[in-house]
Amino acid sequence: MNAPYTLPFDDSECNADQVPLVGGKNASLGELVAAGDAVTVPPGFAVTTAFYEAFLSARDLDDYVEGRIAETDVGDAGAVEDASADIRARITDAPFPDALADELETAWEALRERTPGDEFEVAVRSSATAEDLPDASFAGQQDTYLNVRGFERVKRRTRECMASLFTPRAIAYREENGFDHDDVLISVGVQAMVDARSSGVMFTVNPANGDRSKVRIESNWGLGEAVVSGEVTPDSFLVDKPVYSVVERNISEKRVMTVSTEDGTTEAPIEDERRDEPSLTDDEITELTDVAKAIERHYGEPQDIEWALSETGGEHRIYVLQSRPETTWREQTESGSPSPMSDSQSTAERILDRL
Amino acid sequence: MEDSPTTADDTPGGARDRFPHAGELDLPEALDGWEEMYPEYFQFEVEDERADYERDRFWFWDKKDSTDPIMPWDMAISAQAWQIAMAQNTSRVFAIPPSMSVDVRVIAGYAYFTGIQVEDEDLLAERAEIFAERSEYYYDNYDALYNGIWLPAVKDIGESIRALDVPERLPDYVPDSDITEAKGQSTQTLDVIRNYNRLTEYALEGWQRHFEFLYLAYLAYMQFTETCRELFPDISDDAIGKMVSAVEADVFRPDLELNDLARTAIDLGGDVPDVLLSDRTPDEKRDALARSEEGREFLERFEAVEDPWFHVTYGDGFHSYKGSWIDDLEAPFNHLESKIERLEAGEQIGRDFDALQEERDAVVAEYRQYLTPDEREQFDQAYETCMTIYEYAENHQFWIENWLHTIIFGKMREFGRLAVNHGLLDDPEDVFLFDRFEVAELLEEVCETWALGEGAFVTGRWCDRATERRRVFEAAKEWDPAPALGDPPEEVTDPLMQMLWGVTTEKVEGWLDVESDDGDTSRLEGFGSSSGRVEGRAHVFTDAKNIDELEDGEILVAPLTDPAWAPVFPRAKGAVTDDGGITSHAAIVCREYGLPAVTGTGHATSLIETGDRIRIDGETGEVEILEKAAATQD
Repeated sequence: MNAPYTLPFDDSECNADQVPLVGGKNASLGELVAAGDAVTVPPGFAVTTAFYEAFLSARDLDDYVEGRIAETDVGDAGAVEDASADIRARITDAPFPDALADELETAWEALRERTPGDEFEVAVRSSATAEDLPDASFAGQQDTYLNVRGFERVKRRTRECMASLFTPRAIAYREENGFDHDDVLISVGVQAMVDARSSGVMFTVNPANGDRSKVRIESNWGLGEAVVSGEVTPDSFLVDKPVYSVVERNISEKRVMTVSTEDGTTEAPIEDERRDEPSLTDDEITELTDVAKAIERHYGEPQDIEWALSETGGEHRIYVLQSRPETTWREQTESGSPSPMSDSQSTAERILDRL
Repeated sequence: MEDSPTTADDTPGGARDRFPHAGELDLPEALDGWEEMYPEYFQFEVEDERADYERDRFWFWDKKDSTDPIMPWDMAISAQAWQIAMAQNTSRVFAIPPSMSVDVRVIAGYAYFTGIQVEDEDLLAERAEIFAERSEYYYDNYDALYNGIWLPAVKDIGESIRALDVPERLPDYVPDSDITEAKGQSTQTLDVIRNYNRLTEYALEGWQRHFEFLYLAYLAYMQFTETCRELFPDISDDAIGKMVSAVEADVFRPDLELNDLARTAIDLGGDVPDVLLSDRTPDEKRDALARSEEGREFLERFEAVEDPWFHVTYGDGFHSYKGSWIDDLEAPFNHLESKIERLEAGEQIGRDFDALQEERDAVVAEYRQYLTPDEREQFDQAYETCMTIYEYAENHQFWIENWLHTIIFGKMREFGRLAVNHGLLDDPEDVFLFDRFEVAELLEEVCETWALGEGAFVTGRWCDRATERRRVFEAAKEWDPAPALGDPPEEVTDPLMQMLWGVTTEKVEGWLDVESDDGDTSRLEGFGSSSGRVEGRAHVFTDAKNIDELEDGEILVAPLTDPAWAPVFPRAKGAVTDDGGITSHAAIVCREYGLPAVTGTGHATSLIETGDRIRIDGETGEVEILEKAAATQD
């Protein structure tokens, strides 16, 4: 069977074993979908590396890339910049062949049908397959286009994501390390936008002390970027996982939030009366805790999760945008001191220790 | 509190506030003469050197047990029993290293405690060794010791007391058998004196049993809570409580038996539900039931469970005058009535025990899953010990304070009636107005009067003293005792003081605030003992007598609760108590019913009035009075 050109996140084939086909980002979204009923991922699909290969080959772009880099002196930063710009312009401007465009449109239409509301907008982002690159950011991982409206724009943004494989740094790195440009592929994710009332991150372990029975939830109004980038002091909740009790709660004064614009996001001031209001209700905190527990259970280790909460007509819904292993504490405990408890103490001796 | 005579205004210029010393208290005149009602060794400042010792210590009112003043005879199974049985358990039986003992004093029927700690390093080390060995034996063999020895022994004590023969009155002439069997004239008077002495001995023996496992149970619980706090920093008291909930303790049995009886009444049908729901007295209901076949069947079932399960004392078991379910069936019949009503309305009564256990086990399993293998081993050991022995903290309360006390008080009333029938007392209840040594004297005088023969002079002294003491005792009930005496410690460190009486550093500071009248009177803080936040109408009860008046959805406010209160919890929206920590009865029952509870607030029953709108947070332990009853009336 030929590899599919598009693959919905909730297709069981979109999983961690399919990174070469859908890239790391899309594969992890597929994994999240499989994490259980408590976890909702905004619907979307992967534009696969097979699609990318077929596109490049149909438009002879692979040959062009090879030739254009071959004639470039990779020791000359200016020359690499020029080659990068040329290659990216070629990829971005080349129309998809009809068969590929139809496939993409069908997938996009199917997504539109699943998404309520009149204004259908998607996020288009690159999903790199090259997990071996030391710094994933230059492989285009950061290429994210929010609020993309209409199929024409979707096509263009998809190509822009594909083109991000050829940033100057990526070209230089592959040349230096002897990687073949043909072997490095890219997938793109197209995902319904969440109109977030609140969003943030959560850790399924208390990052302060490694206590795994807690979830630390950080939250702000609007989209999550302000929290992720640390531009705002978010509301912070420490929740005891087994019993869902909020054992610590800090409601901060939240001055700015991230909001959508025509083609991206911007920081906007938060109106006075909402600044000191908690950006999550107790029920929402409980639901987020359930989500955190389900994801951690799925992966079998502590996770660092990005989430968003939408609210329409009094109904709210929690979406998980991303999850990755929480590493800070794990590294500390693995190299940390051994447990101070001696093994063979009797109950009476242990009580004595406390008296 | 403004008219309280116990404020510490005259504090001699120290930097920190202190409570008054006992000698500085200005007791109301109506209490004059209280001293002669209680043994001298319980009184403060009776000799100079001991007064120095007393003034050097911090004493707190044992509000848990002496919420109301304790009658002189009742002291035999409270303060007098504590002074020996409670003190020796830590000092000389298990040698709990830092806690030597508890010294007891009494003011107008209210008990005051001071914890005596061990500081000497050598002594601590010596005691640690003894403690390790002895407590380990008890922890390892709990089941065999409790079920094999303790429970049969306690039942034996109760049955032995029941078997003590107390005549209603001594006979005009001794029976013929005294002659034909040459009994040495007559054993009748000797039996009265001997059986009374036996009663007090059995009562003290019961109290030795009371403390047998108690501190070990609390220490196992403490071990578990501390282990949890280490392994799961910031864990709430409520979460720890959940892990030790759904224990099949005997203390829940009275309520469970009432549930069964309510279901039986409906199953039997006929006139049984109607009679039980009718507006009759318990005796009238029993008479009416005896007239139908279904009714007789019901009565038979009722009588099959009333011993032991309806030997439930009103109050906390330390007050003979409050009675017991079995003496006054008003409460169990009222509970039956409301349970039948609920069943008829299609509601569920009682706890879904299996579901609770499942929920508890799931919570425990989840916490364990977050631990490393080493930590898990440590957790399991603490948890298993706690779960094995902790039921004792509940069970002993049923068997001693409820079942045994009901029997002891009942037997004492027989002696009271004997004294009444010989003219030395006016009312059998008056026997409790005399301490246990005085009652021996009273009964001896009964025998002497009888021996003097028909027409002998009958003294009026006991009746007069009873009248006088009754007056003083009633005044004592009205008195508001000082929460503590003397100089509070900078920090309360005694683990037993904190666990059993909820005496913490913050609590003591709170008392000082109220004493000096500058505390916030719309807020209280206690232990967040069962999670959840609710708002509602408060209903304040001072004892369990009329708790049936609690309306659906009200928040129960009580000094403390015990098994007699259990049947009303399903109707309550939440509970607040003056005393008791997260292991108190109210805390445990509320967790089982999923109701928010704040325990050990210190003075909820004095700050809150029935009708106030209050908000309670069973997680943070905060109680807020939102609107006073007086304000809501207009």
